[in-house]
Amino acid sequence: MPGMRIHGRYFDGKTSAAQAVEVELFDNGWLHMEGATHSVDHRVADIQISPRVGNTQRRLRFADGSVIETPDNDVLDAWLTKGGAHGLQHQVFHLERQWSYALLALLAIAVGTWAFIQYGVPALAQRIAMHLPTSLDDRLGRESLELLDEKLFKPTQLPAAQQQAIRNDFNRIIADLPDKQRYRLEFRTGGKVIGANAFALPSGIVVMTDELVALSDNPNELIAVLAHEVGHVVNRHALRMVLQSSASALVMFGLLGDVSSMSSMVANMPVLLTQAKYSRSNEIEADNYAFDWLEAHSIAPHYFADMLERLEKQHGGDNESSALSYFATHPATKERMRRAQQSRAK
Amino acid sequence: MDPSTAGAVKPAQTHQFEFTGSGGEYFRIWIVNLLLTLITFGIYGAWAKVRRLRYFYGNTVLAGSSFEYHGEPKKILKGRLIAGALILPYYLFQNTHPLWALPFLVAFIIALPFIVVKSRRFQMRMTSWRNIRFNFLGSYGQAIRIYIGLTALITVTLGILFPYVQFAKQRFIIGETRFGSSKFEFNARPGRYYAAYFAALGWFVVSLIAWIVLLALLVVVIALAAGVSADALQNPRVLLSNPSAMSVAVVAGIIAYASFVAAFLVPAAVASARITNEAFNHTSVEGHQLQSSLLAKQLVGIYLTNLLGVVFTLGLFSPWAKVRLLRYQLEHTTLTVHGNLDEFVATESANVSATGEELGDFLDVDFGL
Repeated sequence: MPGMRIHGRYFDGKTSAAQAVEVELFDNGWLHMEGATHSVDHRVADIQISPRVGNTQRRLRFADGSVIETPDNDVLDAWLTKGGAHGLQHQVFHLERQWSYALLALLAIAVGTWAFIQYGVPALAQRIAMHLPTSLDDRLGRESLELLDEKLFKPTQLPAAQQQAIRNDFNRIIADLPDKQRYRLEFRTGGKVIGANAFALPSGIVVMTDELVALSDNPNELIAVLAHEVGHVVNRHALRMVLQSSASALVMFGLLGDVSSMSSMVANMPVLLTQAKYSRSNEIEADNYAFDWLEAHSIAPHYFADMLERLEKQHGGDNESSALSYFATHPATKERMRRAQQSRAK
Repeated sequence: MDPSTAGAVKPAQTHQFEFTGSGGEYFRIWIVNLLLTLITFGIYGAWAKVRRLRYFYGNTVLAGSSFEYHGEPKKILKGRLIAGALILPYYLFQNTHPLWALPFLVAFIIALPFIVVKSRRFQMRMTSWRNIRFNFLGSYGQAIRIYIGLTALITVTLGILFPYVQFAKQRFIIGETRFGSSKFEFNARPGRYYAAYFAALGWFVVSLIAWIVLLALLVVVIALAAGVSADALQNPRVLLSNPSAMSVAVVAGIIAYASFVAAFLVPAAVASARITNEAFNHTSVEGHQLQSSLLAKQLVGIYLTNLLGVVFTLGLFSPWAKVRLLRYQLEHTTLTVHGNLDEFVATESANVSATGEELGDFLDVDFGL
């Protein structure tokens, strides 16, 4: 019974001379090679057949190191399929062969990466951060205040009595925290660069500028701001940001590590965008912490909104719905004010 | 009739390298590789590398025969694990205790010549054509002289030695390569490397000036079109508080970044075309002469369109980009055969581990090729 036929070139592995050969493939798992100087029979079990990649030439490698190169991929595959002699890699070839599978793979990668960065990374970072000692947060922020004092701040001009009044409010906010000794309130003059502002260092130091105190109309507004800042520390946002940015950089490396170095510069862009997104969700989390505290202590949440509104007026402009919102590290002020109002409603 | 046996009749015959693959085909291999690598947490990466290289080698055809890649995924995975274990402490310390990372850095610099030799040897032994393996017999001593000695001298001579070191690297990497028992002959001259790099430097200066002038004009035009006053442009505080001005600044920043990269493409293409031509045109094996006829302006076109394609498709174009560049390079490379290509003789070659090559991959070792 005649078998399937493929043609190819035979190389003995000793010299580069080519010899045209015909190979007949039989159903019983034997093949017969016929060339000008060679006429031999082999069992398929004794030869290595290279897995198919694209439409590149296949190699049938014999025990003595000699090789047949053949472009007749389809016939060879049909024979291997019949004999059940395909390796696992042939399944990969089936995936690579069709556009529909390629597009499915693309979709899976896109959705998977998005979901992982959107939900997986923040959830992981939060879990890990909550298991790490707070001494790590202290390390992140130890030198920061000294550096800021040197470069940006001037000493506070607030009267001692006013400072004490705000400090008392601050102590109320941290009163129920298990590690309240970590928290400290500092006043500074912000000057031209910082202006009216407040922020928290990961070590628990909250800095409020004289300009912000001057801007407020009501002590409750300052309480709202302080609760927001304490929310950042309680939720360990600085540490989580470090964990999240390393994780997303790792994912990007995994995705684009294969791409040439020139285009991998482009990879910085999505990393920056995810950073901004994580930063916005941190602000929302800190806002929620403030709303909860205000509600628990019967302070109307509109004080938070009032302060935001005044701050925004002072900084000028409204960043809501501008083309830049995706780059912004803070949520739009209008959105935050709306959430403050909603918080009262419930 | 077989083209190579036909070559025996005529005294000299020119064979052009061909690339028989396509961007679309490679895209499908690339995306499946990527998916399988991601869902196996990187383990499939070794298999992905082998499939990728088998695709590129298998589609590179000379005189009717394609090249073959022999790397085995399991060996590559083992090499990667060892290389990763050696490099991981360095990356960890780099962020937490920069001082502790220093000894690792010094160790890598000392190990560099060994990594280069091991890596090149692995690559060459894993390559064959017509069932004859390539090999690399460069010695560690030579590698130490070039990759530590000469490279250190570049800084001392304020860069004047740079073209010579590139020449020395290529003489080492190409000249110590074997095909079977045949040695590659490399007889390029360092003077041509100087000419090539001076031309590239000239283009770099021209591109830089053009980039600055263009950018300045562009910023002003966009700013005026967006209704930002000239005052705002000079005052960063006003600029930052004005959202439309901020948008302008971001757009200008992106354009600046993109055009800066584009400006580098010209000198990069000039250097690449001239150096490749110079090296290949002075490389022969058993009297068969390689030729390369790359044109810088065509390379610029390919680099630029590839870059735009990759950027605007978020990387999805990169398989096509890779294939386009390779196809151009191969189709401008020929081998002039004197006599015939049937007489290369194989040698016995021992086993070689993939660790050196994977270390080289992790550290992005530059062969100077």
